[in-house]
Amino acid sequence: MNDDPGPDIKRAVDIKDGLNPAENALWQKCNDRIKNAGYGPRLSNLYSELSILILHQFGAECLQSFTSSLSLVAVKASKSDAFLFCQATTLLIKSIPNAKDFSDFHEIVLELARKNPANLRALFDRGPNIIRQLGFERWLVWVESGVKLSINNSLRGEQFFNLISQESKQILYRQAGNFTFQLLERQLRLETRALFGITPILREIYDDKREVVKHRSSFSGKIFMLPSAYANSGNREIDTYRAASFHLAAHYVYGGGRFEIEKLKPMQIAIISIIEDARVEWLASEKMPGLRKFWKSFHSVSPDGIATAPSLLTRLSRALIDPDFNCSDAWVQKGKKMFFQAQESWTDPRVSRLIGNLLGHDLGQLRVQFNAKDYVVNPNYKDDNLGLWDFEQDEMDMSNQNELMVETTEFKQNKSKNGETQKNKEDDNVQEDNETGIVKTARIEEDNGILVTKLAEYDYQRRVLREDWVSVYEFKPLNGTTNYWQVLEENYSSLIRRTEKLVGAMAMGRKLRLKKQAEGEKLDVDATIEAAISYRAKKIPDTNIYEGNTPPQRSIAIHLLVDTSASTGEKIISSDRTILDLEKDATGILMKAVDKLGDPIAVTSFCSIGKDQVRIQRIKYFDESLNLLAGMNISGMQSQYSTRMGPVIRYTGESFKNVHALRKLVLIITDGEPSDIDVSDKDYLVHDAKHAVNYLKNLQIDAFCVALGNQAGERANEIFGKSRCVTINNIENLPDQLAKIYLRMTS
Amino acid sequence: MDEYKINKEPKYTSIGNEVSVFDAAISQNLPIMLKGPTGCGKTRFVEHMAWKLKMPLVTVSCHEDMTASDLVGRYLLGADGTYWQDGPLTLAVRSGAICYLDEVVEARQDTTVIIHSLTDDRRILPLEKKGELVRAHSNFNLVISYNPGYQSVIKDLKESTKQRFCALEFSYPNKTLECEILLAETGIDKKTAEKLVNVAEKSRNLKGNGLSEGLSTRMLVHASRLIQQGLDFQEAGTIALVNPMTDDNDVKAALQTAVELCC
Repeated sequence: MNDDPGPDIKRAVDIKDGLNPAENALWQKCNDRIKNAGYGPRLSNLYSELSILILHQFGAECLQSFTSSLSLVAVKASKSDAFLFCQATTLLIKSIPNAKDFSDFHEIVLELARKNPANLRALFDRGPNIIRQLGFERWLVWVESGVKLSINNSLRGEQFFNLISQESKQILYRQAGNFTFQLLERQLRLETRALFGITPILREIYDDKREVVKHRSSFSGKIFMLPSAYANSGNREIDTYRAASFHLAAHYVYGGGRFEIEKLKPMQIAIISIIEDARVEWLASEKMPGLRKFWKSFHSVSPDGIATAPSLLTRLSRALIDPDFNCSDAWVQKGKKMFFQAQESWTDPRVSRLIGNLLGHDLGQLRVQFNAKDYVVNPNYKDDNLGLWDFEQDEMDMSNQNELMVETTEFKQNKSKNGETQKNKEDDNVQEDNETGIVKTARIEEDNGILVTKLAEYDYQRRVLREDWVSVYEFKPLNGTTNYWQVLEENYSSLIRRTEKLVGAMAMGRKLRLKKQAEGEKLDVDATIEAAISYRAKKIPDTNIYEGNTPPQRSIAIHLLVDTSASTGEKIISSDRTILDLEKDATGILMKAVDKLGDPIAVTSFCSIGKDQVRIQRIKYFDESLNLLAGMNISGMQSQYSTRMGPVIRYTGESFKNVHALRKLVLIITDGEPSDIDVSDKDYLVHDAKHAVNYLKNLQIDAFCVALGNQAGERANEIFGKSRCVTINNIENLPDQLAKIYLRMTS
Repeated sequence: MDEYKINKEPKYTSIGNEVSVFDAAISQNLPIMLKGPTGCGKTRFVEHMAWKLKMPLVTVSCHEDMTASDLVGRYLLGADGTYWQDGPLTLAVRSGAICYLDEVVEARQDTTVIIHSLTDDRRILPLEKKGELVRAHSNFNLVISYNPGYQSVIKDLKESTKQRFCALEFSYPNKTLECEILLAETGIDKKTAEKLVNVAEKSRNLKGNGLSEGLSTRMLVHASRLIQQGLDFQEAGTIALVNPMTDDNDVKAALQTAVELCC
């Protein structure tokens, strides 16, 4: 907080003279309020000038609410935090575009002051610097995410606002660009697949220690790591991602093994890397001439200029991909000449090392200073070249890249442990699977939960979909009793028979006889006689004289979601059985009916402990048969934790990806409204669930709900719509009702 | 049957020994199955062989609403009552033509079983509704085609149907041959033909990754013709190669990139 707010304060004095009497009176009133509150002269003096700016820029309403917020910060946090708030606002005020953003800003700060005042200092300390990089609006989204994360956890908030935690960096860097890695990932994978015939494993880098604009891609074998965003790429963000992916693919396809470092100096490493970049790019461009033009378009360095090491390296980089680039520097010219003279040897990676060694020696003779710590390869689509080198731990003197190096080393170690020490292109497919296994398989938690995916969550207040916000962990189903199906059969034999009959009737009723058809297998005798009479009566006959059947149309897949939150453990009035017991029975009966009908069915149970652990258990998947194990999984379901519905609904959307069915359904059985331990706003999770239902709708998946009890029913109606929700007040009827509801939904 | 005879030679570039194999199978009245991706030249090959053997060719494009009556025939109502009208299969069986059931897997399985009695040593076609048993003409031959690539589990030939056929596998020709085909079909210059073939090669990398099949030779022919009409390479590529393939934006972007970077 060393920035000088001076010019704005000087401006304030000029503005004050131009205030009208009403504004002047308000300003005076607000100032008296702060002065008389006893926050000290330092704060009241700063406020006195800041309040003029707020009044002038955003109006009376904003000034009043800001004054209230300031008082609250002073009371809830401390006077010094209030001063910090004031000082930060003075610094930020020029970046805030309008009154709406201003009021959003101080509302968020107020929320933080209420819930975690200790984090205010960290927020304001870094605020101006981050705003300069991202802009106010994106900074605000980042701050808001931090505020939500730090509720009841001040340490987490401190780590977030000090940019220590991974989630903080991830959210921040994703805000840096209009087109982020997340948006483009699939497109990049497909494009690389098309052009190079390989399917890279794409990963996002968000813990790069450098400034956002200095982020570069990296690779290790077929794992391509790309920045969260290519900030400051103007309108070429998408192209930069594409150029980077193709460049990495060229390294993978045309590169050799990793170069040994031996006694090379950092400058030589950088030069050899540039030669190698050019070599693989030329080889890739042989069959795709457009690629070279594409890469060339990123090189904009001028041929002349001061001969510093970074500028010479950037010019050499351009000269090697663009033969028409005429640089006057003798060293660059020499490099270009050597490279093109060796054209016939380009297929051999050793040529890069040979030329790079000589050029490195020459540059050393010129006494040009090279600072490995600050060096960043240019243009920005190029990678940091760590994937080219076989670094030993003690040779890593490029300290700005240490983190990534550690990650790469860890990956290599993982590979060794799994007996996969060598890249083997011949065994590409197998390796791909294995690599996917190593990298994609998320870490196993202590209790065997596996992080299967991170999903978005919708914040209705901000109208923002927070990407990768919720972590979904899959837990192994607990083994229940082996005689589940037998017991079910005993307890519900007549119900199961009834349901089966119902299902049988549906299956038989699927073909309908169609009379008076224009074409068909058989003549419709009635229609034929009528037509013959018409003929003989010299009338125009009806030519629709055939009969046929409708073809079977049924093609339905269903994913059943069973709420197993703690409330399902409650006993039903006048019974010893819990809600979950009845959910289990109903699930079993439905599964039997659906199996009979031939519709693929998946069953998943869910509960949650905050956004960081939405827990699912896969009871049965679509392609699994209805066997003993499925019965054990059903009977093993246990009531625990809370109900976070939205993420689970989104998760089911993913589960239908490989299921071929004309109609896809999600059916949720729940006994209460969505709630979770880290959410106090009751509407928040309802809106998110509603958003998730719409998300499914876009995927052409219909979501239905069976709500147990009136209270659950009201909320479920809001989420799913009245026509897609059935409320069962007498919960004991659930086993009887569920299969019927399903048949009604699908007939 | 004269209208079913092919008088002008359909251009066909052989990619292997398929011509001699087809000759051999026909001479023994063995039913033939042509397997291969769409647009690789299966239909053109049958037309070429029918022309070469001077045999009439009755082609039926199969679809899922097709019934057995559509193949064998049905009673129609005339001024003097009902009368029987032969379907295309019966026509070919009676008169001794090659009956070509294109994309046979599209037809329902209960429809395709009617060819069973024609494809074993009985070579008969019972017309149940008419109460007639038609014995196949000695020149009658059955050829079916299907594309194993895009059929789902639901759409497949029954084992009992498959095992009655000799099968010729078709695939996209190699690069040189595909270039030659483009030159022969459209008269386009060699360099442009090579670029088009290069794009096709890239698109085939996407098989199973967003596309069920890559660009077909037929699509390259279309693009070549557009280029000959004055469209530039990228424009023709977008219209003939990218847009028809998919509505998935990411896959489209990948194909478009292949078109842009291959020229």
